[in-house]
Amino acid sequence: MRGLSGVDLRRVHEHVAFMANRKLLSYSIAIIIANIISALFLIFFFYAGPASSIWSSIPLGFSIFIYKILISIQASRVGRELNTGEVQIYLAHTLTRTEYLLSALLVVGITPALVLVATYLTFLAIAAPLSYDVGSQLPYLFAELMMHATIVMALAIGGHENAASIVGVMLALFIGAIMGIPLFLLILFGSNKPAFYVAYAATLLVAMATPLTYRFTYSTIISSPLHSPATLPDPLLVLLLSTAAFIILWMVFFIRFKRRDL
Amino acid sequence: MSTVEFREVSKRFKNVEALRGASFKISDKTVTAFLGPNGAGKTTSMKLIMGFLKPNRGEVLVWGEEPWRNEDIRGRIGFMPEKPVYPVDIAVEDLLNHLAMLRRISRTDLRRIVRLVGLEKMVEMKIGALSRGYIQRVGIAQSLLGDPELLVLDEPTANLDPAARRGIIDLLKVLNKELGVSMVISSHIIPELQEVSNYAVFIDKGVILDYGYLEDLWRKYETEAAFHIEATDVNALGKILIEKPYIRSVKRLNGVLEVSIDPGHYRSFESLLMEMGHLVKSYSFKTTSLGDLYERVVRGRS
Repeated sequence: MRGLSGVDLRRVHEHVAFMANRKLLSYSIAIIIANIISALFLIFFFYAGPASSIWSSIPLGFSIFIYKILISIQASRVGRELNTGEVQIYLAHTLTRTEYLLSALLVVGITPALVLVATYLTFLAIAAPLSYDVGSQLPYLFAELMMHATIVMALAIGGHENAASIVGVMLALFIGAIMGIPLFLLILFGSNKPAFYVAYAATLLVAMATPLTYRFTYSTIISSPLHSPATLPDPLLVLLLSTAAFIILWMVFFIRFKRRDL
Repeated sequence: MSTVEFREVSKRFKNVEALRGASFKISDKTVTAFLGPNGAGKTTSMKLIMGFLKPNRGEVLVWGEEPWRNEDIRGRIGFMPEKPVYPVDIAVEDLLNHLAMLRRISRTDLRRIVRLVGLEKMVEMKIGALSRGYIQRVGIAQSLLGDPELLVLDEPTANLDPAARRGIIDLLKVLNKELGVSMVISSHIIPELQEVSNYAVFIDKGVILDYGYLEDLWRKYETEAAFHIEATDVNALGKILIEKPYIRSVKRLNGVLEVSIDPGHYRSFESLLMEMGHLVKSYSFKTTSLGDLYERVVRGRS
């Protein structure tokens, strides 16, 4: 079954299943922990006061952290396959470079992102089916996990398997603090034009790497008297730029991987 | 058309030039010994044949196509990498099943290959728990999936004890005999390939020293060698040959005469055999030492 660009989708499916099976335990642990946390928050906070979004935002934060760790581990494993030469075994058996990277994209990024989105879609459908505020988080959630996968895969494809896991974990742990620096500068230099543009660009860049976290931070700031919301990047713009960025970056990965020495 | 052809190929890794203007051809239906010391450029050449590397300069052609551009070529090649790069955390059969499914090979064919390489009792073991000898067998098994037209084996006996090395060489002989598949086998242990190869490429420091059929190379470099002659009357032929001054010894082996002659007299000896066509059914040329040939090739270049 050949799809676009001569990609054999059957082979991709075979290899995705093989790769995912080898890390089934870490997938299972991530899904179980994230679902238990979400269920507990749903039980204790939603029924106590469904108007508050605390029942979704806190467990979602935990789940994102867990899934980012999972994504980082999977990306590191792809880096190891490239470094050790294990990839040669699969490529020697008719898997093309494009099919291999597509399999990696599915295992490392798209599958975990879709699993988490689908999990929250289920919760929302049961708990707050008409809540636009809660439901609109899902595209941001998908983009945040895909951007994380893109960053760690950039390192993994470059052969930096350890950096992929270390940077991935650091980003998962400290993205709030990382985002705080340009945001603070942005608020501080609101009236100083050259410094403002630099801080705005830096904030936009960090926000693109983590659109859901930025959306939450943005809504917290605009509801406080700290600063006029007009000077901050719009979360929807951030989401669109983030989505465009990971699509373009993955296209670059595919093109470069075709010529990479293995 | 040659199976493999390198045209002025250079490959550089940062500051190391692994291949420097390498040109050679490997003919169809040959078992090629790809010989050179460690770091000579053998693994780089194997990876270029597989399309895992892109040459910095020149062209690598496999059946007339560039493998790094046309990835379908790999479907016709069986490859065994130098290092045991197989995932250690899964069972032998899980890996082989996966690779067989990528190639759309039936379970029956897979079982046949597992039997052929002697892995039947090991299939349920984790790859990480196997000895080096059996890991090499896993490597050979996976390279045979899909009945490839060409086998590219990179140091198949590396880091093995003598008994395991013997086992792998015997297995390669069986594969050559039963499957009749072309092979390119790289090794830095030169004598061991003597039994299986009929073609050689000599490489050192990224430069191709020489290549060709062993028979031609032995003649060219006048290495000590022996003729195996099938005769209608072995005794009569033996008596005639022993009289010749350049003949060192004549032995009778299973109805075949093994005649050892001084280097430098191959052509006159072959002329003699042609003259005695009524007694000679057929003859072949065997070296006494591939290592000796290698030494002469290296000395010839330096």
